[in-house]
Amino acid sequence: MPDKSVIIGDMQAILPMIVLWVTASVIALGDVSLWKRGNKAINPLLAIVGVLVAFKFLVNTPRVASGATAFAKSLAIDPLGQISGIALLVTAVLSILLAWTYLKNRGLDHAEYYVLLLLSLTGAMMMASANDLIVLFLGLEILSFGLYVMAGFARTEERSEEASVKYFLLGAFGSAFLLYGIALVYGATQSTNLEQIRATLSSSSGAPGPMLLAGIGLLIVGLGFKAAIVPFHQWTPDVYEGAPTAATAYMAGAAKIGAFAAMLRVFGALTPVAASWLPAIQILAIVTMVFGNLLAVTQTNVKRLLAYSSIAHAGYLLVAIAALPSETVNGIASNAPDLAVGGALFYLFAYVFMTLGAFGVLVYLSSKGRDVQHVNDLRGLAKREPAAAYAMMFFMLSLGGIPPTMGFMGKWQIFYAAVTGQQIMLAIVMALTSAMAVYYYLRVVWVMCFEETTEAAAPEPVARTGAMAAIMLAAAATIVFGIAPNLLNAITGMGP
Amino acid sequence: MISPSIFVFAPLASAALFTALMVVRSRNVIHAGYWLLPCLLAVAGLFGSLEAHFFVVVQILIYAGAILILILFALMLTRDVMDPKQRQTTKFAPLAVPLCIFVGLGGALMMARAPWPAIQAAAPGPAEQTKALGLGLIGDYALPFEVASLILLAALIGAICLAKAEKEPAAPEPVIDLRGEIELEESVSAGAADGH
Repeated sequence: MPDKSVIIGDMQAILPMIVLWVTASVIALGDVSLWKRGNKAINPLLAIVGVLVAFKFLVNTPRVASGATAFAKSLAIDPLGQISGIALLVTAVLSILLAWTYLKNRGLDHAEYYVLLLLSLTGAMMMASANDLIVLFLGLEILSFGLYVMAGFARTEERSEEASVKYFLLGAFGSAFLLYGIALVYGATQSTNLEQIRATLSSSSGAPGPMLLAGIGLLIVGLGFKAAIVPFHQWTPDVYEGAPTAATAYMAGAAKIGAFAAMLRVFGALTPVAASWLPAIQILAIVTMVFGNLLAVTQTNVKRLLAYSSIAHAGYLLVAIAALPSETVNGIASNAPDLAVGGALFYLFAYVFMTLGAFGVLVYLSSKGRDVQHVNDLRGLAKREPAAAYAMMFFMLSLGGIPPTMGFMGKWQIFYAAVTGQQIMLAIVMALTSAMAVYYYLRVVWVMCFEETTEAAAPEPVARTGAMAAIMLAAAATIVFGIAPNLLNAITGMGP
Repeated sequence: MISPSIFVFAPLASAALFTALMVVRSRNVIHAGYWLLPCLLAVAGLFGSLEAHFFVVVQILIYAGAILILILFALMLTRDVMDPKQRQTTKFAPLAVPLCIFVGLGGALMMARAPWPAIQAAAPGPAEQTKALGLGLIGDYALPFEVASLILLAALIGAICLAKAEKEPAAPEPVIDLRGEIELEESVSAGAADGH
């Protein structure tokens, strides 16, 4: 029988996830019994309250700094889990606000959307704190199951259905790779626990065996699918385009944070055998940055453009992963790993604010029977909807990495970590491809500001308070944290 | 050196592979469901050859017994799940065969050469195994064990969400229908009146 304090500690570690899961259950049950015919606004409101309560418990988790673990070491209680958890909750609040507007305007206002969103959020948080490969896999599956259905939520639309099926089939394929990788890593190290794996690897001498190499390779493929890394990215544009815009926004944020938090953990544990996987990560990072940006240039659909942009951003985040093993540079202890983790987390925050903001503008402009996603739909937006247009401008500038926005600060931090970790080649490619990216982001701004609208009448007024709130929150964060990045570190307890 | 266990393993493994292939090759989905039965039983046999007694029983009872029946029931209740005349391969199929053989042989070679530190000399007896499994599920692996139920919950809600009928616009329709019928009746009676 374990000690009482151990049980309490374990419960405190998963309290935010329990809150999310309970909220999901309350919405699911309440919607079919208590407020069956009542106001549908209660579902998103409850969801937001649940996320805020989870946030409160997450920031107050005790023993974060001491590197404690919970549930027989299967869950880590550390800053990485806490901060990526905060990023996930921020994603959730923004996407619930967006969904509130979008689902209502598209006549899809069902409680199940919020239930699935909260459940998949629980999985993503589990994944971000996982200290064991089995927990990581289960978290990933919970995250994905929610996303598969959310992608197909507009069931009457063929595109949405296609997105859902495509995502499900390729996601299941990716999961199989991950699972096989976990099995091989277990076979080689006798453990699925990341701490234990790291200890085994650093105590064993000699080159890693073929089984471990194959296992690591399959882990890279499996996680690469979820993080949309080239060449495992083919599903991304189709799914981003076909899914309801609010679901795309959530998917873009939550899947990226979950996958990269997991990657930071897994590759952190594999640091002792870094020589075997670092070249692969370097090549993938370069290919992802180059192809993500090149393919984005020709896109005329904003959702597809943002999909390729999200692939490119996955490439920048891989640069941070590549800087992880640089614990010593030229024999001197280096702080590159800490810089890489801090930079990646800051970048994930920036990514969430600017990407969800950009999707938010599309949600804001969409109305019943009119789903805004083509660049031409944005023509002359600065005159029609100045507030949305200026917010979109900030998001595009931030995505392009132009100061003084958050996107610039995030890129700078990863760039700095890469240079400190002696990944000069990656830093150069990152700077060049970022410059290339400015072109297609600025084209959107150009279309909004300098091209004449082709639409005759103003769109009918629709309920869009939620989307406006989300856009304003995201725009404010993009600028404020771009000017004062330390503020974010102070709020989340992040950074040195 | 070839250990005698290969004579147990090889037939079971090839049976499992062959039947699994038939599951995906069958154009009739009910046949695919039936092919699943020998496949699951062969896997149970593999568990048996590893002296994992508990898993043999679970595999037969739960998978071959319960889940397979459930799958067949679900197929029976669904119409037009699959068209037996439709092609199931794409133009990349000829490429896939050598690729699969290459990856499979490469993997097998790698496995055969690699050291297996996780292997134990002798498996514990059935009673100890089941006890260790039970303790593991509420001890070291309590979190994964419980979290797996969340996956089922998400899958359940998601499946209902995708399968439930779309609500039709409720109130106005019967009114319109009624009016239409009234108008029709009126015009019919008017026409009849004209005729007379």
